[in-house]
Amino acid sequence: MMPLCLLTAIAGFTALCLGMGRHQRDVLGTSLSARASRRLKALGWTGLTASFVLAIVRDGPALGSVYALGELTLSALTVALVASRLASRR
Amino acid sequence: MKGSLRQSMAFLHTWAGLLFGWLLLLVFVTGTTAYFQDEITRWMQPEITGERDLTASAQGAVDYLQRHAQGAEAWSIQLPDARSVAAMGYWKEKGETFLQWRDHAFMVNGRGEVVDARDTTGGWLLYRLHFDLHYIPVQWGRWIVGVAAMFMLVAIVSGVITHKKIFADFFTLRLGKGQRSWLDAHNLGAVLALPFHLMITYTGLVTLQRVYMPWGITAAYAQTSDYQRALAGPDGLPTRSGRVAPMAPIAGMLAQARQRWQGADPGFVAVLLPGDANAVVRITRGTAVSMATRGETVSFDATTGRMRSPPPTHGAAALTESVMVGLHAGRYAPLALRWLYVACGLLGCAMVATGLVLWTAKRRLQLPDPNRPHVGFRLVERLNVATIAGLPFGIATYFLANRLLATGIPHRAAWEANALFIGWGVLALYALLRPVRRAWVEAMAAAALAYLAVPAVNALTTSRGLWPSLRQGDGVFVAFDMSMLATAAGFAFAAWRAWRRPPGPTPRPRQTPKALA
Amino acid sequence: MRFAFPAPLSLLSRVFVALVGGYATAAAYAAAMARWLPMDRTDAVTTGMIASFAIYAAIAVMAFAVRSAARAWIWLGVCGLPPALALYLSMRGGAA
Repeated sequence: MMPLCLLTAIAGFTALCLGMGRHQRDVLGTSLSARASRRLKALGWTGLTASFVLAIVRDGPALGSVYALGELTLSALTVALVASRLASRR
Repeated sequence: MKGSLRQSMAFLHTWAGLLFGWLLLLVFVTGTTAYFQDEITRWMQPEITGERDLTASAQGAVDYLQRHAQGAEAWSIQLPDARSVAAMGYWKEKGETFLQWRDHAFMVNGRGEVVDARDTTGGWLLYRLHFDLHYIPVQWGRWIVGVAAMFMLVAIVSGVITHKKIFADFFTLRLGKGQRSWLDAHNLGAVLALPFHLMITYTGLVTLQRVYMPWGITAAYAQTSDYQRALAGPDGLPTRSGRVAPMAPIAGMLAQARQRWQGADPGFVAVLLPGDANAVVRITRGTAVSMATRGETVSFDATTGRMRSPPPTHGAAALTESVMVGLHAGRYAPLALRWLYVACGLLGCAMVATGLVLWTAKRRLQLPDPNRPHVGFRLVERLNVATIAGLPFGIATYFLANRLLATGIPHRAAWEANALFIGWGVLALYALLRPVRRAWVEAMAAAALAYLAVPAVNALTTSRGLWPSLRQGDGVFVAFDMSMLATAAGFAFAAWRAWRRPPGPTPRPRQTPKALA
Repeated sequence: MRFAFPAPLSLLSRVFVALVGGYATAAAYAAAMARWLPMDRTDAVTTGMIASFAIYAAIAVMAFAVRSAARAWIWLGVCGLPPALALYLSMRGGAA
């Protein structure tokens, strides 16, 4: 279930990242509409929440939340590195 | 100090960070290795093989202690947890301090045999370096590290206030842009692992709070010993009767303890006044079962093997403290979570290192003459190379010394530790003598080579090199050698980047521009 | 961005408030809590110790956040007097 938590968190962070103006320009090369950005952000937060909930379902509230914070950190790092790579390609 | 809150916080963040940055890097690096303390020790004692058997190794240790340390003040046996194989026993003669006490340590494998393993302090040295430092009295080290941790806490708070666009910049890492890139990397290391950084700094202070903040004890108790008695309950230290009495088998006491803890493994055995009729055996639960690390000790009359009345239970604050210490040390963490801890620790190392480099990158452009920086600037620049490349190099020489020093030499473990500081010192000295840009490239290349040498020397000097370990499915040895190779690759990459980096922008076109380091 | 380096005396004053004043205030809170908190005494001691580091950090940040060194001293007094007074009363009166 850990891969699932990580994937959910990575998906969430990706959506959050693409919902931000600067990253849209850097990664996609265009700006999305305000509505699309809002939706992406909402989707992103849903992903992060889902990842947290999954970790708690898996390991209980105490161990689960420690796991979740670690998994969120690792996922955010992954997304940031990929975004940086894509931005420098452009 | 005029100006906005953000500017004064930036000032506080910059100087609090710089003043303790190098020490904090040491604390982060050694603290990160400490999450794999047991595995490092296993790698550093390749003589110990086989399966773990808790009861057999405990009985083997007690037998050995009965033969060699009958009149000692106390015996201690660190039982193997799921991550190790051997038990470690040691004893304390009257009047000895804690560190001397470790001098007579011995290892017992799962068959109950004392193993003639090489004399090493293993992963424990790096763990102690994390909060005791080395070569200086332990209490000094703890205070110095405590002050650094307090600066770190202040640096985190002021850093968050300074970095106002904390979420707007959340994924931002612009590479190849000089100062901008270092700032991005510093922010990223700090912000992504912010929960970890806050937790680890605060709980680190809590771990040693009775040293740092004893005034509540002073105010509430006439003597510190009264407080300790209140914590431990009526079951205090035994007094010597002078009558000799044999000890009941340890296996029965271990079984009783295990039963009390619903099957959880005991982790530590202490025998106070061994051999005396009043001797007491204390068994502490292993740390792998619960986030809370303190408490959960049961005592037995050593001669009868009967359990004594359990110690008093304390309230919410004691549990909070215990969980905070547990969160810090991560001994409860299963393997996957342990790696997440290491990842966060590495982000912390990156945060401190990039913060230190950022200090120079930012100021280089403002120097009156970039080719002749002032003494303070040059000192920071050199100390950065000496610490960021030098400390990891020193740790590699520690591992190499473990494989290369002859096994019989006196004070062998101490010489392994000296090797760490000799390696670090040599590279630091080298960094002082070279032009700074060359120093970065060469020091990091040296670190890469040293880490590359560790698995190679392991394969040449033991029968447990990477290939045989892979074939036997020996996870610990494979993971250790692979981690060395990964570290080597990391430093090689950094050296390569530093070497081919285009010269940075200069404020004035004059002579050879220096790059941003 | 260049940091405006503050005047040496003002800086020294703030550093003193942060380092020494912060520790003294945190210690006063830890000691006062150990004597006054209505719980098991070892627990009161522990609570005071755990809280003290947050108090220390808050005072240190305050010392650099306020507009002048004089204000830092005033705020230090405002934060530090209550626990000091509580501690004094409890030690004198033998309360708790």
